[in-house]
Amino acid sequence: MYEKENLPVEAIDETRREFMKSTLAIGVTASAAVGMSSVFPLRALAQDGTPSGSIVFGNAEPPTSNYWDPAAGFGLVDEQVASLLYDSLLAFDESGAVRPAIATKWEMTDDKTVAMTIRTDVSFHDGTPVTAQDIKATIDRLGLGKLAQSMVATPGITVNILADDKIEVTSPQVFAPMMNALAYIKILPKVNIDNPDNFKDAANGSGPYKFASYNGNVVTLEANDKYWRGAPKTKTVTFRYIEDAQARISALLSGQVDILTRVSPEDLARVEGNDDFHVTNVSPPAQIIAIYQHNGPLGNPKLRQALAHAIDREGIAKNIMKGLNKVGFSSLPTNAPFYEEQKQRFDYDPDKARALVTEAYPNGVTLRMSTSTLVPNQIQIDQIIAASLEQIGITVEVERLEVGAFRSSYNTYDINLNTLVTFDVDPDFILGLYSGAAGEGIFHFNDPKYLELLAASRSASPENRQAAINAAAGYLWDNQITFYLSDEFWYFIVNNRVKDYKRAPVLGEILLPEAHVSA
Amino acid sequence: MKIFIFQRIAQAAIIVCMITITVFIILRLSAGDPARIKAPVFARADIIEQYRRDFGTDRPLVEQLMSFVTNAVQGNLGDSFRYQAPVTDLIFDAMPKTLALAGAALLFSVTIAIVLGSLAAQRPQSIWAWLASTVALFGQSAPVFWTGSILVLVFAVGLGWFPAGGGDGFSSIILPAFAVMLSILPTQLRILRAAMERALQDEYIRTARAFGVSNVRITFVYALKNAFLPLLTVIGLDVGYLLGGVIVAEVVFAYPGIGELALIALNSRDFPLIQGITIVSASIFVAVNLAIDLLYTALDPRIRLEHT
Repeated sequence: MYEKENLPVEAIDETRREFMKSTLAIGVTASAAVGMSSVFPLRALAQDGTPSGSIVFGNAEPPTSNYWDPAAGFGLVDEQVASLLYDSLLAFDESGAVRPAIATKWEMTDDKTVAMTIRTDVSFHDGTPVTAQDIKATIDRLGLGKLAQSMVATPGITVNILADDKIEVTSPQVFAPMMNALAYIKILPKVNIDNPDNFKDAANGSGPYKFASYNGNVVTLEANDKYWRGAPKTKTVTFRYIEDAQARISALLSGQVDILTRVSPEDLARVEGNDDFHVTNVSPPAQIIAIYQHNGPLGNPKLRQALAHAIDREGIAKNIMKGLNKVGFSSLPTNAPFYEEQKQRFDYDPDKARALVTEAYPNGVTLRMSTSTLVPNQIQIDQIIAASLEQIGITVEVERLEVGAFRSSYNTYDINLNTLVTFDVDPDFILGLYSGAAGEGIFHFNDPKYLELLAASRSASPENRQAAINAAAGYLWDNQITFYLSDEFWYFIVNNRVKDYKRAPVLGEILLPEAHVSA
Repeated sequence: MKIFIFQRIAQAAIIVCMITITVFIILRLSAGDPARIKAPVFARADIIEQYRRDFGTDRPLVEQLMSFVTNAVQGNLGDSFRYQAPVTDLIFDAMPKTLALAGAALLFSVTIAIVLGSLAAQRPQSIWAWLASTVALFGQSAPVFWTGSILVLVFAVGLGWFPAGGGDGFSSIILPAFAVMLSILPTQLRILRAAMERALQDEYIRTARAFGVSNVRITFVYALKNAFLPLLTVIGLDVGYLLGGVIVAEVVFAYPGIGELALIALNSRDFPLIQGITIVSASIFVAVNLAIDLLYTALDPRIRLEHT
């Protein structure tokens, strides 16, 4: 062995270089190993049919709140989570048609009552069985009309228990979209309905996934191995909130996120021609609107009409949304069942808009507007809306809010961009949003004439339903109860490692249990 | 010396108190009705009233301030509206992540500044000097959001070596730390280089050379000790900047540190959380600067002597 002092200078330099190279190699290898383990987590499939792997969704919004009552919110993530945690009496298939779920058979015994046979082998995640009492408590609570989502059913709707496996759901009035409503309403434990504080701790449903954790930005669900339809194929489902649009698409492209929801035209362009991803365009009927609060200046119909003429809807749809979303002429999305164009067009006409503003508010008017990143390209669209209103003499005060805060406080601003979605395929869901607690909460809107039209549309016979829905939708449109910008067609970008991912034309992810991931 | 330390600690305590009171008053006057901010869209009027009683916003401002200070001293900074969780829990969850990011960025930056700055000072016409100038110019000119995006595109999306974002493990720190490092390196590099150039002209260095001491030892032992003092001041400021949350880097990389938390709190009008983050960050900033002041006295005997 050589002593260092005895080595020639060149040899010492050589030894140093070797040492530096070795150290660098070890460092790079270790960093790469740590990095790779994070980028490519172990996602191997189990071979024995037990749930395995994980699917990560990237969303532009968090849940509405840390409160797991599915009837208390309207958010995308709220419904994603609820659709996997809870069961309904009926369910939607890929085409949006109703299929059996907890109810195995059903029959309309008269025009207001449906008799159902229910499963007795379904359990909540805490092991307690799902009983007819739980179903009654869930539906009766909606019938009381005090919840945000009470509008999904008719006031006074109730369940009569005939036997442990037999119930009757009865509406006081004829309720045409009854089956769609029953496929949407999530069955909750009676004990939680009696003690609503339980919803603060966690969600206890009977669905294919169990609640695992929520940290303010990430919701994690674990497979329910004992699910009555059989365990879902994927072990863990994560809904990750990433506010920044660039960070969201980067997370998808780098493999950290598997499915990106409600993407923008720019996101679609980023994956065009990329064989690692595909795009799904199975969308619930949805529309982008600028929600008005009717307890402020926008309670004045002349001002609302002015706004309708002031904003170039076609221009925004063409230049910002790149033609992905259709501009409609009614208060319903153009792809909703029963959609029909209204006679009034409210075409873009700034001069007419200016005259209407002067007529409504001769001394000028100021509107408070909140903006966020909930809707794709929302900030750009809001800038155009604000500029258009300034041009017709309306002062607009814009406040930027984080999505979570935006979702919980939009009704304290006069105007803000948002999305209305049909959760249960039937347009009654959107029309119902303008009534009861939902109408009051979302729009500060309560119009007895509209409520009559809504009730008539709900009790209409099948042959009269088109006309009745059109009358209710037309009333909203003619009075410009809010600003109907365009449809919002939902595109999701999916990593091809996710197999058998399908969507029903509803908001949640009810078909996700069939999806699995490749290693 | 003891008096000097006591004075500095007292000054730091007064500064933290002033910041606490100022933040409390400004937020109370500007953030709006906290009950309306916290209440969800569908909250009933009686629930909103209950929130007002819970926050004590129906009481006089001075009473609210006393109550806030009493709770803060006991470690209770209230509950966040947005996250519906104790502010201290949220801060102590995010702070270690920011500390790790800041620590890594600072480590990269100081190491490069010392090595490159010293080499550039020692050999002004060499490639090291050119490299130091180029790195300083690039770091100074390129904003973090741009370098961050480029790093994500190249190393996360393109090469797939590192995650694009998130806070899962050591690998998720590398890219944001590099982006942040590029933003703080130019100042450190320039200060160290200039100080080193001055130090290398000093007589004691010439004497060391005359004694045949090696260049490496002269530069990195004798000259660096004196050239390091100005760098220490810059590091103190940088630590404050980093611990206050490197907001842009944390947003670009969706890194769940104190900066991203602060941005969400601001955009949410979540004033308990804004209050908490401001007070904790300010306290750390003051504490770090206090530590650096004290470190000066350890490194430079002249300062020690001035205060005895």
